[in-house]
Amino acid sequence: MTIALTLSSKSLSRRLLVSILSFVLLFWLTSAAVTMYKALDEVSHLLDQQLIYNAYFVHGTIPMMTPAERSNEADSHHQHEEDHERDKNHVQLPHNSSELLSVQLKKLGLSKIPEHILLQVFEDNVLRYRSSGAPFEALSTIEGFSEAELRLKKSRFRVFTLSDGPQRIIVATTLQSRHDIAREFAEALLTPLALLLPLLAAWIVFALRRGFRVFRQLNSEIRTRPHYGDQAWMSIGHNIHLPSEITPLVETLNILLHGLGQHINNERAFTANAAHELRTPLAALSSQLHVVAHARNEAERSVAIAHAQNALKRASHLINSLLLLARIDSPENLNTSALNTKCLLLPLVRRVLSDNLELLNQNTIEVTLESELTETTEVLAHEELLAALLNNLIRNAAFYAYPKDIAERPLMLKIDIRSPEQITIEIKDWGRGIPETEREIVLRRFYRMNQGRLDNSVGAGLGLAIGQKIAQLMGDGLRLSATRNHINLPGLSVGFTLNKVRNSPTK
Amino acid sequence: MRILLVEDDTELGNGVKVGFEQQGFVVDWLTNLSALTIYLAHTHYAALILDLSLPDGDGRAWLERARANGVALPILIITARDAVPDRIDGLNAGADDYLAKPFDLSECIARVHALIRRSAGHSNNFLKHGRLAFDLTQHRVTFDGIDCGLTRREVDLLHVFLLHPKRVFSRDDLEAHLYDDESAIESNTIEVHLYKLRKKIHPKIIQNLRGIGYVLAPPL
Repeated sequence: MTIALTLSSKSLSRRLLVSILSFVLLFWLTSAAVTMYKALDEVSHLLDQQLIYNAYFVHGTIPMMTPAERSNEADSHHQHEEDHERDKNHVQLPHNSSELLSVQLKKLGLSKIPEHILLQVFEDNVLRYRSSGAPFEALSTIEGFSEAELRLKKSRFRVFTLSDGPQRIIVATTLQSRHDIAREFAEALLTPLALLLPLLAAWIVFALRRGFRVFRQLNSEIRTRPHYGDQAWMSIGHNIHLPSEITPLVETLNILLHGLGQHINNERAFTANAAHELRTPLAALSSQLHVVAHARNEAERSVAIAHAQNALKRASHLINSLLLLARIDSPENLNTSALNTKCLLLPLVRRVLSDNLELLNQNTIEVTLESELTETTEVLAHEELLAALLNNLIRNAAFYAYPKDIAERPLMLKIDIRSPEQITIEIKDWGRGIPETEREIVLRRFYRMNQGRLDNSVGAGLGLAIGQKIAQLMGDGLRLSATRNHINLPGLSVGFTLNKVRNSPTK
Repeated sequence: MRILLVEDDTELGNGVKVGFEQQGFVVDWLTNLSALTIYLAHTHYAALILDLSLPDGDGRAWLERARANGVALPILIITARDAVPDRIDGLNAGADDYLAKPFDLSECIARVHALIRRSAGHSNNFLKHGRLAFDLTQHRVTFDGIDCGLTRREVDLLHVFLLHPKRVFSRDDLEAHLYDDESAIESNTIEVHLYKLRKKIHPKIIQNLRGIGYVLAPPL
């Protein structure tokens, strides 16, 4: 038989993997964005420093004109502007500024000023020098840093203006070139990290799979073991190296498995015992009916019928006992409030005794009743269960007590007031008793003492077990002890406590 | 045919004992294991019917020990343990057959018959000995195809000889096979039965070995 369990389960490892990878990716993207922003800021700062450096470099390279040069320059400036009108794209280099600058650039390993850098040198607001692509008009009139847009180049520029007396040096670079540098810088930083990202993901997958291996091993161990029989309840994880986080879970599961195994074994033993106890009287009944059918004479038939009736009585008694056990074992089958119902004890005791009168007379057992109660003394109990308990104890005592001709008082039922709220009932017999070592185990279900079995096949070993369960439901269970009378006969005393109704009359 | 029954349940033990006796068996009934070994040592039984759950021990453990000690008689287990592993366990312990309670007594008797028959080396319920034929199921004996008209006791006596055709039985052996210890029998009862067998079947069907006992004659 296959039992299919459908559980709505989501993979924990998959969820962890997705969340870790998402987090890593998010972290990486955030880092990339911050790095990019920082790189831009840093590169911007560096390029600004470079603009300042360039401005001072030009300032140190191109000397200011003397007054005479400035006068010539004024003349030539006019001519220069005319030339400029002719060819605005042509760079005019007054004096020897260009040569001086070229010399200095060559010293720096550069043949010319890079195209993305614009340079303007003004003296007394007259353009003295401009680099290729730089306009004739000043890019900015603001001292220090500013931004300007050059329509001709359709670009925005970062401009630095350095003024020293009549000389004004303007250095500018395109914002685009600055962004390109920042992007390249950030890319140089982030590309190795981006390349490591798949490796990191693979490592996370590997680590997670390794971490969850213990669950797979446990699952495999449980899956491959037999699902029925004793092996199904054996503890798990013995051959697996368990991490400390899993150990408590596995230990708890093992405790649960152990408990389940014990419970199932008890159930199995109970069922087997019940089956055994039922099968035997049924087999006896069947055999005796066979004997009746093949009886050789009337006497044989009569004896067989009597045996068959006994077997039937035993089967019926056993079935009643099993049904009673099922009732008291399952609280849902029992009205628990009825456990504390007021009931008159003495009439109940008398009723049980008269129910067993035939058995007591048959075994010549005389019962003595000693009681401190009145007819109206009430106890809190489940009347039906209390009757069953008394019945079991009296029948048990009747079977094991020595008859009247051996024991002076074979069976005594003693009821004492223990306290204003409690009474004790003791059923004492003078019979073969129960050895001290067996007094605990006789309360187990289907336990029958050996000596009792040889000459008595009526009991199924349930009487005391049922009595114990009922006494526990209504009080603190049965107390078994040895009794001895004046001629030193052994015997058994079985006692239990009941709750008395407060202010209920006593003698 | 004498068999031994070990069953602690009064009603069942009585039913099985009387049921087998009705079929001509002699049954000794024990309710525990304590005397079992002694009974087996002193009496020759055709088969043993053994309950497993006994008040003074486990029948299975006794069975294993008995087989180890050379007890060879056919053994039928009757028990309430009816699970397949229990049956296998019982058979592995040395039982020849296994019957779970509750059982039909007719089946139990048939199984014991079969066990006894097989232990004597016969595979079916018809025993042939020359011109003599014995139908175990109907307890009918024929010689040259003619019904011999044997009584139950005579059939049982002949059955003992047919199961062990070469064995010499003393008078005590034959009494033990046919009567239980409580039966009051005359000293010449066996001789009377033997005389009737010779008369009804053939004068030489049972040979008397003077001072030794009785043996089935070779096939006539």
